[in-house]
Parts: sequence; structure tokens; C-alpha cells
Amino acid sequence: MKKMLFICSFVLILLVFTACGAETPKEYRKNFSSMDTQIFVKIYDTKKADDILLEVVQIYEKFNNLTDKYKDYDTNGVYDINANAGIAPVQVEMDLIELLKNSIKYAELTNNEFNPAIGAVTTIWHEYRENCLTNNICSLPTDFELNEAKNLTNISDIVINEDEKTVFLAKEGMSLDLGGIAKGYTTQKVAEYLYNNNFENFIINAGGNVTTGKHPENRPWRVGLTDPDNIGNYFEVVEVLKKSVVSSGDYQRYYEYEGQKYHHIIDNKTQKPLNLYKGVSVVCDDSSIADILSTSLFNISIDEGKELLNKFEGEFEVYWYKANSEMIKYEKS
Amino acid sequence: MKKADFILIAILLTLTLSITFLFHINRNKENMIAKVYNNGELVYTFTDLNKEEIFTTKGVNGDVVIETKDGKVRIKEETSPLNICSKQGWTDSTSKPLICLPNKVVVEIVGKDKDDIDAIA
Repeated sequence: MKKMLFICSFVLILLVFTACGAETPKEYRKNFSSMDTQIFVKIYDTKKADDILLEVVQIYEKFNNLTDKYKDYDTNGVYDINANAGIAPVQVEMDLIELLKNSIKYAELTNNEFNPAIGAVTTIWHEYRENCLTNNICSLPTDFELNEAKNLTNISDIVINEDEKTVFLAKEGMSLDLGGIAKGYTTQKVAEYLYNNNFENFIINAGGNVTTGKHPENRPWRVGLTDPDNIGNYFEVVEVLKKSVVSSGDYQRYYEYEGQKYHHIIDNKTQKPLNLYKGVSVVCDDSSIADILSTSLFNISIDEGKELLNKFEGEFEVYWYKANSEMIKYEKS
Repeated sequence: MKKADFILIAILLTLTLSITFLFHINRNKENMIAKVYNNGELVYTFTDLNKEEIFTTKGVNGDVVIETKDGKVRIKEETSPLNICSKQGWTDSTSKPLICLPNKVVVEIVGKDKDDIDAIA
């Protein structure tokens, strides 16, 4: 009898222990506004993650201030470089020089489909979009305007002096626009920072840019790809681990004129938004590459896109959501 | 072994089993709540999405009216270009927060949802 009771108590204790699950990682969340979007960060760990979350916010803020072309901050950044175009070199932090060097490298790889010097053109479209959305005065930029601006978009006119830590835009009216890389680049920095500080379980959603670490339950993350025809819903789910998923779409920023949608992903060849696709999603290891590729692929044909992917190392998954709402999937390993 | 022993064992077992069971149920049914942020500040928490409730907060362009009902939450009324805030409709998923950048208002759902998606890109 004693034996029976002993076994029973043993079973009871076991049950209680499994129920409590002594060391399950806790969820630490933060959502904040930066880089012109809302950023959601979730970290899962048995150790406290409150402090590292604040540091994550600081990294985003830092790169926000360095890359914002519309607002002036205390530290020199893109705003100051643009303001001094054709006038004088501007001394900036090494972090921005690194980002610019990467941007120029990607511009060369993508044959300027991703162009960090396209600011003169995107500024025009930005003004027309704002005027339509806020003042209800809607129209299109003239070809003359866009052509003038086109002459101010050569990456060879970005002069970087690494010894002096300066950046100079050679022509007056030129302007940098890092909108196609800043979010992805910063998110990649943040992911690396988390790994280096032994926070391996995390997921970051920075407005269409999802970057994942490991999953606390040892399974892949399930990321939905935005359905451009039905925002808030997804047309496909991808399972990822330690990867980035970035979507670019005509639904993110746009205005309408005479029944036609004019979105924010401006094609470098025509200085206009093209309507080949409603959305393009890229899955790969590096968040900044996913970012520049989703915008670059948006304005070229699928065949050209596959050719472009061959120039990059590593595994890629691409989902084109065509203008006729047909979906094309491509995997490159 | 006496009959009483069996009864004792049976009682003990049922007791722990039910406790464990309840414990698990509670953990898995962590109530879904919705947190409302205005300009980064937490301004309100809907503690029961099944309850019909309205909360209004002053956004950049005017009042932002947030409603809960039938386990879901939505931005009912607001002023923004193209009404991108209210156009997002109802959500009941942690992976689908309501983001209203023009008014600097965000509604985030926290808890365990039935949706098996972790995020949307």
C-alpha cells in the first residue's frame, strides 16, 4: 500500500511540474513609430529583454535621423547632404558612409533599378502625392519636370571621401533618397545586434519588412504575404527561420488620378511608377538585400528579375503578384 | 489494500488532474486584449473584445473612434487621406494590428489568437 501511495504522489508531483513549465521564454514587446512606419518588435527569452528593446528603438532612431530626407536633425545626415548639393561636402558619421557605399554597390548590381540618387525624381512625385492627398489638388508631373530631374540622378555624382568622412553631391538640385534600403538595412543591423547580445528568439515587423530570428517553440515563423487586392489579408504564407520577408506594393503609398493609381515605387528608367505588378515579396537571409530587391524587381519583367537574382549569392524566394492578380513564385538556391 | 485506500488515491488523482487541466486551460485561453496607443503612449486597453464598447482618442486630424464587438476591434471613424485607417476594417489577430499613421494611433492585439500567422509582410 505504501508503495502505491508513493507512486501516486510521484505522478502528482510530475504533473504539477510539467504544468508549470519552469523555464518557458517570456515575450517582451515594443511598438514604436520610426522610419515613416510603425515598428513592432517581439523578443522571447528567459532573461529580461526590456533594456535591449530600448536599445533597438535607439538604433532605429539613429538611422531614421541619418536617412530622413524631409527633416533636419542635430546630427548630419541625408537632409544636410541634400541641402548642400552642388555647394559643399558634408561630414557625416561612418555608419552613413557604410550605408551609402552599400547602396552604391546595390545600384551597380541592379543596373540602377535601385538608385539611391533618385531623390530629385521621388521628391517631385512626393509633392504631387501630398498635394492630392491633403489638398485634393490632383495632377501628374510633366515630362519636362521629370526629364530635368533625371539629369540629377547619376550615382557617379555621389562623391564619398572616406578619409575626410564626407559626402558630396556634385550637382545642385541632386538629392539622395534611401527609402528603398534604410528600413531593411537598419532592421538587419538590429537583428545582428540581437544575435550578438544572445537574444536569438525574435520577430520584427517594420511596415512590410518582417525579419525573424529563431522561434521560442522551435518551429518556423509563419509570415503572410499581403494580398494587394485585399489589404490586411494574405494570399500566401511562407515559413521562415532566421530570414527576412519584404513586400513592396502599389497599395503602400499612392494617389489616384483619373482612375489610375500612382504609387511610390518610381522606375529609374522612365521616372514614373509602373504597373507591372501590384506587389512583389522577397524572402532571403539579409533584410537590406530583401528590401532593395523587392523594389528593384517591381519595375522589371519576371525574366529580367530572375537574371538579377542570379547576381546575388544565397537562397531566394520571390512572389510576384501581377497586375492581373496572378501569382508567380520562383525559388533560387 | 483497503477500499478506503483506493478512494483516497482516486480522490487525489482526480484533484490533481483537474487542477492541472484548469491550469492549462487558463494558460491557453489567455484573454485577448486590445491596446490603444496615441503618439506612442498607451491611452486605453480594451480588456474584453466581446463586449460592445467604444473608445475615442484625439488623433492628429481629429477624433479616432475605436470599437470592439464580437471578439474583434476596428477603427470606426477617423479623418485621414483615403481613410486608410478605417479601411483596415475589423481585426481579431495579433498579426494584424491597426496602424493609423496619419493620426499616430495604433491598436495592437495582445494574447493568444486562433490565427496561426505570426506576422504579415
